[in-house]
Amino acid sequence: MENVGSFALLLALALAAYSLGGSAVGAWRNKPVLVKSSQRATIAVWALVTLGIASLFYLLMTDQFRMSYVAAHSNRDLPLFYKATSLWSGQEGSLLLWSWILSTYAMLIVVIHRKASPAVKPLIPWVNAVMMGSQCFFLWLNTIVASPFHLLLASGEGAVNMAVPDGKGLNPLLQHPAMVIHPPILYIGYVGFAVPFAFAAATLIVKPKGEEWIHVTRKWTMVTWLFLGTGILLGARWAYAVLGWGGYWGWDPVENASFMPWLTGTAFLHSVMMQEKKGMLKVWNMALVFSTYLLCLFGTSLTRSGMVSSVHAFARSPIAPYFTAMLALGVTFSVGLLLMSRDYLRSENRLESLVSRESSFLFNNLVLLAACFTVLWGTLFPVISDAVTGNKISVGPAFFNKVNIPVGLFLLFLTGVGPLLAWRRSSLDGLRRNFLGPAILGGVALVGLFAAGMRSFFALMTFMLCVFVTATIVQEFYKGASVLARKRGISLLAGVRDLTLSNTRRYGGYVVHIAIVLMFIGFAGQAFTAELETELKPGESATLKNYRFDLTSVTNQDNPNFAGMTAVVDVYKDGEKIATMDPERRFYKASQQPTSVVNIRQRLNEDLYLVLLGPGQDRAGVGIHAYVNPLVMWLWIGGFVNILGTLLALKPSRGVHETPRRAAALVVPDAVRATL
Amino acid sequence: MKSGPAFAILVLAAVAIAGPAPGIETEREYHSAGDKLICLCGCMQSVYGCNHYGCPQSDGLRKELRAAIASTDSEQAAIDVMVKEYGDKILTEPPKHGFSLSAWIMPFAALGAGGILVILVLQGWRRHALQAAAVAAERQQVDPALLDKYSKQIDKEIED
Repeated sequence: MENVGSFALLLALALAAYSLGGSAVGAWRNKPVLVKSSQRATIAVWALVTLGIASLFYLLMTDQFRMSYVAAHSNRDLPLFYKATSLWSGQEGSLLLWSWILSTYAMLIVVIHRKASPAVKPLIPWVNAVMMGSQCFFLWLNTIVASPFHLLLASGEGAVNMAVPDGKGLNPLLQHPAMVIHPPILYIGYVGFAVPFAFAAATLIVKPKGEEWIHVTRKWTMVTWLFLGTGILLGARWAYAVLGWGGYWGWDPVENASFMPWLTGTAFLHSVMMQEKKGMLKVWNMALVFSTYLLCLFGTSLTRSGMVSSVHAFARSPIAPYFTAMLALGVTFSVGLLLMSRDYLRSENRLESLVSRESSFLFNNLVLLAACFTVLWGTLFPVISDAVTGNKISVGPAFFNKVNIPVGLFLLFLTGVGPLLAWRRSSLDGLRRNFLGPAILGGVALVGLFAAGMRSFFALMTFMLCVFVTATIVQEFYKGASVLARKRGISLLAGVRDLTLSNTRRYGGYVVHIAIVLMFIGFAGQAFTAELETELKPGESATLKNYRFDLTSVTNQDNPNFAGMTAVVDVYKDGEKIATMDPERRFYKASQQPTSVVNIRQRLNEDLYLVLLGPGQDRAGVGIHAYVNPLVMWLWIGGFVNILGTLLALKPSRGVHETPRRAAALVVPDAVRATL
Repeated sequence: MKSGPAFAILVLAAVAIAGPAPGIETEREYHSAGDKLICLCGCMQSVYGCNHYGCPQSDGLRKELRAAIASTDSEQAAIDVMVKEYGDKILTEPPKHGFSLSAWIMPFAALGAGGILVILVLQGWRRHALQAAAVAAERQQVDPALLDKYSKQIDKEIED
């Protein structure tokens, strides 16, 4: 089977190279047959990479321990569920997953855009060429540099193929349900940014008239942005449930690597509206699309090269120089295209008023990019410091929190302000009308929370802004829906429904903003986390805030996969028993690694988070670490609302022309246009 | 009974002067200092908070920190002992002096520079719009009613 997989990937590499060349030459020389043939090759590449990944899957599921990858990442007693996930737990397998997702996107572009509109159709061969260029790089890695189909070899002279009786097993930290879906979803997001990149590059090569391409690109970006965001949140959820330190985001380089393209992708989704509606920021939008995908490649390289230290990173491997070369090629290609297309990208940059939606979008982009720069700077600072001064510095969560919290709060403020500013110009009267109510509500929340005893400055600011932003969004829905309800003689609720469906992009966007508010509520809860580390013997108690923990017993378990210890803890709140919790400590036999299985009691107001640390100092008791984490649940709820909002924004509006019209495209007499 | 409040005040004053028990104070310093030092295993957690079972670094670092706290008279002095031993990389955040100060300055400098750039860009766009409108107004008079009609149409279409 390994030969089938290996050969499939090699053939896929050859076909991807053919598709790249065929598409480019076919489009350049106007040879439709060659273009068609290349597109079929792209579909064949997808089929072959699918065969390759299916081969690896089969080898893992059937315990083929003669394969180096299988022996390193699986073992006989690993549950089937996790044998499947070991496919992407190692360097080679995860790169193959990347390749497969990329080939799937390329195939979908060919299939979905087969009957593209005349404005988009000329782009598709070039989109295909760029996608296949990226595909060739990853297939090169899959076949030549980091093949998952290497046989296990006995070392020494005259090395021979060999098999081991059992594998080393899957890293215990990865044996969690969230790890089943987190990596694929994150990768769908990461890899997906290749699609907007390809569309942007194709546009600069073909230089089509009109802005339809940006509409198509925006939709692809939203899909991939949704997956990346969801993948990041699933990763946070995994960290929260598995790592046992009570938090969900540690500003680890691997986490930062996924967060940076999300920030630039978010900036693009906002600034693209300026291009669609007013023909502005064309160069800027191109630069954002390019940098987002390049940041994906950079992040991938960061986590696999050993450049920065992280417990989440893959082992140091020889792929770093290849990624550096690919990044250099990508930057050169992108900058070259931008420089050669300055005339094509000339914008109609005119601003009627400094107080307008346009201005707010620019500030939104500024803040998002500042956040991205801060994360990049903090992540790379240890390397920079080492290179400049020879002194290696650590940049931990304390730095990122101190620097990013003010930036995040400014962004939250803009989330409320932006949608209330009118396009072109906002009058003083309009501003007062739109802002007075939300500002008063925000102020009332601030005073109320302060009076109730809250003293954390950033928590107070966050809650005030959350109330302000929510009020602005509710006001927007209410104003639109009440007019619609009056006009159509329907209820307010039906008005909200009709209003939302009539402009899904706008109101879906507001729902996404609500999701951001919910997430910020979750973040603010961190200011009130309480924790306790103690040793307990059965029958003993400990207290934390208004909780009491009674350790009733400690039980042991043993199965082929792991041996474990469970602490049974009765939990009382204000003297009343509310739960029995059972955190575990496991020792995985194949990998010889221990791990904690955290027990979390989740509620809307706070989570109770228990970690069993293991046997105590005198072996008679056990170590318990308890956390009370307020408001964490709102982060996950925000994640769900974000999915709903993005899906809503992707849904075509009812009875509205799909392609947004630009003011500049309206039929307006020239004399009037100049003064508008 | 009359001496009751005075006695209570005396007791409270004595407690205030004496402060918390030495053991509690040391534990508090240990926790606080441990949170300002980063575990060197690469987990991004503090020395106090690192929970990696079998972590090759945290247990040793905790022992050294306890010894440093016992042998010095302040939390900062204990941290200085650890920095002397391991260098600045033991700190959870870059120190605010020397080259490391740039770690703190750069993000805000970038934000500030970006803000100035955005304002300049906006002013340029605004100037461009005003110039275009002035030139058009000089060339031909536009009926204000027509201008208003199209202005409203544009507002509506952008909002859609």
